[in-house]
Amino acid sequence: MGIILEVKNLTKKFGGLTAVNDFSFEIKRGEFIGLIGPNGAGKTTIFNLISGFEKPSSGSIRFDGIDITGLRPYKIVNLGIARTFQLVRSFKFLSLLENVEVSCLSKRGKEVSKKIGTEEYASSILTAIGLVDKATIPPIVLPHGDLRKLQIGKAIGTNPELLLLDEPFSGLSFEEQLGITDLIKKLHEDGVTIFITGHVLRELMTLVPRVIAMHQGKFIADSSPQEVANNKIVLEAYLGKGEGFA
Amino acid sequence: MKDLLELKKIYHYYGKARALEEINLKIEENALDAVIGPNGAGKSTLLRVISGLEEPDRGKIDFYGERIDGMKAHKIAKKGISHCPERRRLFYDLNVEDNIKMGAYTLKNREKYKEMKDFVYEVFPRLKERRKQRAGTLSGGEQQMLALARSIMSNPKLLLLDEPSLGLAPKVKKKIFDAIEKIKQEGTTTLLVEQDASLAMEVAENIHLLEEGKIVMRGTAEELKNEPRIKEIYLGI
Repeated sequence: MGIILEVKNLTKKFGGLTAVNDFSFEIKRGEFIGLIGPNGAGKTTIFNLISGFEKPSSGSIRFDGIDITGLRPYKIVNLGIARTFQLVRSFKFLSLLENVEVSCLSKRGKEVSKKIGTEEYASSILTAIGLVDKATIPPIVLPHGDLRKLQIGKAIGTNPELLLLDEPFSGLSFEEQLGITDLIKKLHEDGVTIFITGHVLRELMTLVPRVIAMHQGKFIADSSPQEVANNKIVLEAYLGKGEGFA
Repeated sequence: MKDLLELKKIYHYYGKARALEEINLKIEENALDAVIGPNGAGKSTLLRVISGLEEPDRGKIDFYGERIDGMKAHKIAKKGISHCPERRRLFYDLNVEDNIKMGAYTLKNREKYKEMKDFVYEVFPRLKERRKQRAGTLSGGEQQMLALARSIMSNPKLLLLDEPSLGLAPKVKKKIFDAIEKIKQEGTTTLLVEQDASLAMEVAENIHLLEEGKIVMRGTAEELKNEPRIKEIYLGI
């Protein structure tokens, strides 16, 4: 398996605050990997840097061997990286089908759309995310769990190789979390490389075989969930410095 | 000792997302209790339903035997419950002393106001030094001191503290927690919400562990200190 993403000495400063501090890691093609850290650790900033929503202060990001450091988001999507956001975003007044069609018309999405037709492609995605019955409805009337699924659907429409999922479980009921878990597993089986953040860890830690942990912008661990959960620095980051937990 | 506060079967929802589920909680007079739990467990919501910033969807809250759930927040404040919110929420354009004065708006007695002001300046000498400085220009630690000072100016019977250590350096955290202990010794019952479990266990007598809206464990700090499930709840495995 080749390296799909290579992040080297990545740093992002917002004024006097260093949100991401000299951060390096690699992801192999086909991996299923988590990024954890307490609130404010810098997880979303890392996603913003990879997907082009923020420009790094220094360091580099390579995707599939290509330097994508500082590229605009649309260019990064066209190379094959898609992301979802912590807070759901949709085209409120388009139907669900149209919401997904928009991404099926992206450069990489079109590769599939041209073959099978945009509507077919979008509708097959709605089937995959379990929302095909609601294809004609606008997203404003959907419950939160369905909106989360739609976010993932819109990301898949761009036909990505690497999918960044930012807190896909937040604000969901237990049943809704299960639905999202199944969906993500299926995508991974279909060959998409998945990088996923979370601060609520119950779902995440049982889902992925490898976890990177960060705290205050810095890298602290990269291992199996079991090992990361027993890492002394990780425990301190979550529970505070004290005796008894580690 | 009698119960100052009692929550009975409290439920709260944000839309369809359940934030609190069947919360039963008793706080004795003069206690210092802490609610700990990972991000998103419902800790802040718990404080918000007590101080009336949220009305619980179900259940009952008694304060000195009087039912307060459903009451407006300003009425609950007058009854003697003070809420020190997460991320401080100061009046950033007012100076330190005016922020402190705002905290005393329920006090009708000038003598008491002076007494309380002397007390907070004694606990936080730094604030006295900076009393004419605009709150927005204080450091993070000083802002947290000011938030704490403001919240005790009304001389509350019950103080609700939301994440007083958030974003502070270890040294500053310690100062804040020393102050919390001092306030407690002066007879203010305190309910503290804190993500930093170790820190909470150092000061609190009783610990209530919240996970996904439910209290899943409680005991004294001593009893819970080596409890492996705490780690499991925070880290998911």
